[in-house]
Amino acid sequence: MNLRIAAIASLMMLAGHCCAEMVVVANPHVAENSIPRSELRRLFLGQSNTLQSGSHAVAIDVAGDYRNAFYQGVLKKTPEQMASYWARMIFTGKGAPPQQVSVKEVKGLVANTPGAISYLDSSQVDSSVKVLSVVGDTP
Amino acid sequence: MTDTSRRLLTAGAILLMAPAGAAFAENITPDLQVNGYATVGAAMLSGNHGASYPKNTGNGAPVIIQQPTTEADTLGGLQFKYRLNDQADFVIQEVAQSFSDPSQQYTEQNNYSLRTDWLYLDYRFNDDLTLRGGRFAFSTYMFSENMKVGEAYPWVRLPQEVYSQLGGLNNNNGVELLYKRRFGDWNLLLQPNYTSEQLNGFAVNNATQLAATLSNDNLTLHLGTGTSPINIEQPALVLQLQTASGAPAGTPAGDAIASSINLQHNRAVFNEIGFSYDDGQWFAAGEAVALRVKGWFPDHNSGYLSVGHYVGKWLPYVMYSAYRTTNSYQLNDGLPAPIAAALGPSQTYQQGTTTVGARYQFKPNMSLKMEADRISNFNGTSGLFNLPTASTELKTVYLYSLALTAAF
Repeated sequence: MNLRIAAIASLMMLAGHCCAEMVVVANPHVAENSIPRSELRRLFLGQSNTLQSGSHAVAIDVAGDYRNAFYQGVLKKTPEQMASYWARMIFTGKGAPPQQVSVKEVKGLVANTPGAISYLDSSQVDSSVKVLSVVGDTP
Repeated sequence: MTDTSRRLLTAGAILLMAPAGAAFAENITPDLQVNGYATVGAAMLSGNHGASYPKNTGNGAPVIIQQPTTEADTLGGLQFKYRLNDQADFVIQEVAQSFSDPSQQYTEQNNYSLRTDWLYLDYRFNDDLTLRGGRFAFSTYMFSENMKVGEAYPWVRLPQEVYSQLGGLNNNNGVELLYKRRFGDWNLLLQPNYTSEQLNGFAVNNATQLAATLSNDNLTLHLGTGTSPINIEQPALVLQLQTASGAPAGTPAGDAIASSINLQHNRAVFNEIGFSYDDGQWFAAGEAVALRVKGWFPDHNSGYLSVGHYVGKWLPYVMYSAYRTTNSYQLNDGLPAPIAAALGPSQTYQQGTTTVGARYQFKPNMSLKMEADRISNFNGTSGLFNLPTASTELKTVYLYSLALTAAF
């Protein structure tokens, strides 16, 4: 419970009109309880697909305002910057953006995909997913 | 329906495939990923000089003239990436754009065709090392892999002083390694490759190149270097000079002309250093390039520096770019005196461009761009323009451009 409160608190600034309390969630079999902000950034920018423990990670994006709020709050990137970034990565064959699913689909996908990491509103969290606290450099 | 209307509708159709704020990559099947990009652009030069821009390097790139034309900047591309297995992907990129007959370099031609830009296989040994083989983008300059993807940079087109003088070397055939390494918050990517490419009038075969990219969250540093034996044949010019000097082929003087003008098995060396910065508030980018070719072909230095500041979805920017040949007066050394005198400093080119522009990203993956370029500092040369007559003199030329870009 304390970990969940910390996770929510660390991401409160991600709140936009869409997502009052956004949290980072993972497949329940992920060993970590927290994730450095820098590592989260590398996962969602396609620069890494492993966690610090060495286990494989799969970043999953959520469509719409959730995605924009997460990227601006955690990666410090505007939607426009991300679009230019992925244009450079995709058309040089150096990377591909994470799979993107709807708000309704993300929890089920995270629960059933080994190593999956994504984000959703804290009110949608249940025992099928694991909340990770975000630690490291402040926004 | 006119050619212009058909062309604009086709590019517009590609643009409409880029849904608002959507992710990239449409997965047709779990293993097949499709991406695309398009630019619809219009540009025109000021003045009554009859010149066209940029200089024809024999690669078929359409030119900009003194009436509004769309073919220089309008193109569309589709990329298909098929996952063969957990280690291998097959990639093909088809591009539709206009290619010009160099002999018609003062008119709009609208000669659109579909060509295969990329066709390669990627094999991942592990997360850090990939081997690429086939046909892929020239990677030595910072934006050379993204030359046709308008969404990859804020300007209407890449600085012509650097990117128009590659002689059409957009893609090459060969093998390339992509090696990644992380150092704290910094990511290093090394791309050595071994490639060949046959261009119009010359060949760049057995080239070895290395591009190194070091980047963190906001800053990218880039180094590129390459060397290649180069074979340039100019039979028409050789024959003209032999005839004019009364020294036909087979005579010592005639053969001396041929060996001086035709470059066989000489070497080209090119070096590049660049940076780009983008923190969501400020944007900056710059490159410096040096090309050295042994023999009768001018060496040149070129570069640019651009700075912009984000204002909401707008990015207004300025840029200065310059090009100068460095050894033109020495090129004719060794040629018979009458020939040297006749050629004069014939391969001296110089120009500088001051650019003011703005990009408006009305959707994350769609932008409207507008630019005004002031091209000057020709110092009596033709700069990077094609001049209709030897007596045409350029002072200051303005280039006005508008473009709509998208990617999905």
